[in-house]
Amino acid sequence: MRRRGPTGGVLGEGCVVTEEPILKLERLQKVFGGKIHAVDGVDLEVRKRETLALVGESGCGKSTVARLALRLTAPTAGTIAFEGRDITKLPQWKLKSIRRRLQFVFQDPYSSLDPRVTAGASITEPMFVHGLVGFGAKRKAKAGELMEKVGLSARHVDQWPRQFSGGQRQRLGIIRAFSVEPHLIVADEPVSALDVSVRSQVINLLQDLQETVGTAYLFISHDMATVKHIADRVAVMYLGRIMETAPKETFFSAPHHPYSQALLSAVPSSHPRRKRQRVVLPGDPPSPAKTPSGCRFHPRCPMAVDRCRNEVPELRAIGKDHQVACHFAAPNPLNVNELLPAGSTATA
Amino acid sequence: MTAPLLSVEGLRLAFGTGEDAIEALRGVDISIGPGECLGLVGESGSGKSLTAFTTMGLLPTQSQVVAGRVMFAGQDLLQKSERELEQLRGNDLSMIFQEPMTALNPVMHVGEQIAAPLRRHLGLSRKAARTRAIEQLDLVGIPDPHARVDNFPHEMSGGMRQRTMIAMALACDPKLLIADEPTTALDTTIQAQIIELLNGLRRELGLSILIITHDLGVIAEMADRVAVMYGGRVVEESPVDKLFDEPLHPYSKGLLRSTPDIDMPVARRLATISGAVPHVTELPSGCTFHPRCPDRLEICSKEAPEEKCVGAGRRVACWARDVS
Ligand SMILES: Nc1ncnc2c1ncn2[C@@H]1O[C@H](COP(=O)(O)OP(=O)(O)OP(=O)(O)O)[C@@H](O)[C@H]1O
Ligand SMILES: Nc1ncnc2c1ncn2[C@@H]1O[C@H](COP(=O)(O)OP(=O)(O)OP(=O)(O)O)[C@@H](O)[C@H]1O
Ligand SMILES: [Mg+2]
Ligand SMILES: [Mg+2]
Repeated sequence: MRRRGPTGGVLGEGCVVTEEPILKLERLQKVFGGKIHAVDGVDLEVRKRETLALVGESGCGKSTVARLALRLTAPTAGTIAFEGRDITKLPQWKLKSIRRRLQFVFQDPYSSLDPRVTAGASITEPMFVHGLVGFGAKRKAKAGELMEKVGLSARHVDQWPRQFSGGQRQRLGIIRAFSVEPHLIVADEPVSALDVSVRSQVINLLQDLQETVGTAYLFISHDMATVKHIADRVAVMYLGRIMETAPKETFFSAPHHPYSQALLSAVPSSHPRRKRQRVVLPGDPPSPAKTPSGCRFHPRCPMAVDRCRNEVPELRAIGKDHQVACHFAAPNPLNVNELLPAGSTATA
Repeated sequence: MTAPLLSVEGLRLAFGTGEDAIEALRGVDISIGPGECLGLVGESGSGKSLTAFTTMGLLPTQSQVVAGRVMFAGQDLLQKSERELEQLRGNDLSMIFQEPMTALNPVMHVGEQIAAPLRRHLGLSRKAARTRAIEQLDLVGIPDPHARVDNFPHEMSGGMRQRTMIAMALACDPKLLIADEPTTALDTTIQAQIIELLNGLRRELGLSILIITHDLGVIAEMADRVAVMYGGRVVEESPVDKLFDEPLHPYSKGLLRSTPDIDMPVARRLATISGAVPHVTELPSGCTFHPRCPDRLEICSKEAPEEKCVGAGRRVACWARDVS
């Protein structure tokens, strides 16, 4: 198991001292074009040194959360606090001091590096901006050192991005983010575009660097197996809202929200003799321009009752570190897998 | 064993000619029996889609078949005229593509798109074809097919478009369906719907399927047999559970071991395959996997290994396998 920094400590009965989260999003909203509620009241925190995986289907708002957290786009409402400081309204010039501690890695290794800048100049750019590296030969030497850290040869510092493979470019993107030893890296699908045989190399690299630098990750992914491998905690998003957050072990062994259960049961089996019993959700996720009333999952939920159509369930604690936004959520949940007859497929 | 419905034999395909010719398929052998599902897995660029397109007689421009045969129901498709191929495609032989939006006509109602081949190949009347189109939409689980039949593709979600593609591909009761990454662009829950759909159709219609994917999970869910491709060749072929139990080729082994497994306890580190996927223009000599191979021998860089039979329904192309 990986060693973790302390995230909290119990000092006697009822007295829990929790360290300040590194990133705290509260009631965060982003509306595009006056009607697309891409992010619709997200509460989320990332703690020091942990990896929080944000999962959910295409269009549920994961990337928008990432961009909001990085202040690359302005929220419609809600607050973003980084290391205890409210940065929601901080002007761009003041954000510079925060950028060193808050870095990012994006999905597409082909567009994340400027094609007109050499690999060496690209990866030392954040250090240069923050005055952590000198000019000319000094900068180049540093670049070489960084490249060797991620298994690339220092001889290639002067090569152009197009001369590297996808996996190599993703390594360059990762070392660029890590070069300034940030406290948090927002990684939006950092391995999704990579070939299967290269993906595991990059996942290992992400974990190794995390261990040496002690960085926290907000790790966005739709691949549950990767999430199970890399995450400490998991947050499930559906149509702009968080449906469940739980420690990894709890999430994978006993997901509470019917959507989490369906999402996990939809993951293809890892062996032909271990096919899972599956809850096939009817229909597609509705558009964020037409969010359903009450619980936004109710039109696809096998457990929905009248209350779900009318009343929005709040995210509430049901166990240690475990929060669920479902009217049925209780410490021992109903599992939709057990409600449906074996192999049933609910197709609308 | 019954005669295969499709067998691709020694298929070599090159881009360009003479000195500059780049061989992208370097001797591909696969076969599919009636009612069988063959999975084709492999790295990006290993030649999976090219194999599928060639089988359909849809050669990319600038490419030519250098050697090999594509036998379908006893006839060599590579010897057929474009007219004869046209007749086969969408009739006995059908394909669904990775990106449904590029394969659907954006300015035509989906119903008409399903009906067109029905009228062309089966000579149905306009009205009969429309009725059949509605049935097809219903078959693939599209809700409210009577209304959906008059939708344009952009009025549908990604999952519905992919279902529409499947409905189109199945309209004329094909014997073989080639599905090139039919779920890659889709979400996990929608992917699960499509897998269930294809498996159900296979059971009900006795359809043969060639499923192309880079996702071992999709293979585990659908395939009876698997062919693993690397560098324009099939390096291993095996019944599906045998491959998952005991892969034989070092690339297959690496692929299986380096994929995180959601059903297993989490290991500290993932196994990896060292190095990167070579581009077709600079494929290594001998066995194309040798620079990345942990089991490589002297001979591996010099000569490409032939695929050899190693037990029931299993074939592998690896020198290390030969000597051990
Ligand atoms: N700039 C924009 N203008 C209008 N709508 C947008 C914009 N950016 C995102 N959206 C919409 O907001 C919703 C959330 O998008 P987002 O990219 O955050 O989803 P995601 O969860 O990252 O999806 P994916 O898994 O496909 O990357 C989508 O419906 C998307 O179409
Ligand atoms: N029109 C073309 N011109 C030149 N080279 C091509 C062309 N089409 C494909 N290739 C090359 O042939 C090789 C095989 O391509 P193919 O599309 O079959 O790969 P694939 O296995 O389907 O990969 P993926 O998983 O990325 O879809 C690739 O290296 C590709 O670059
Ligand atoms: Mg995204
Ligand atoms: Mg392809």
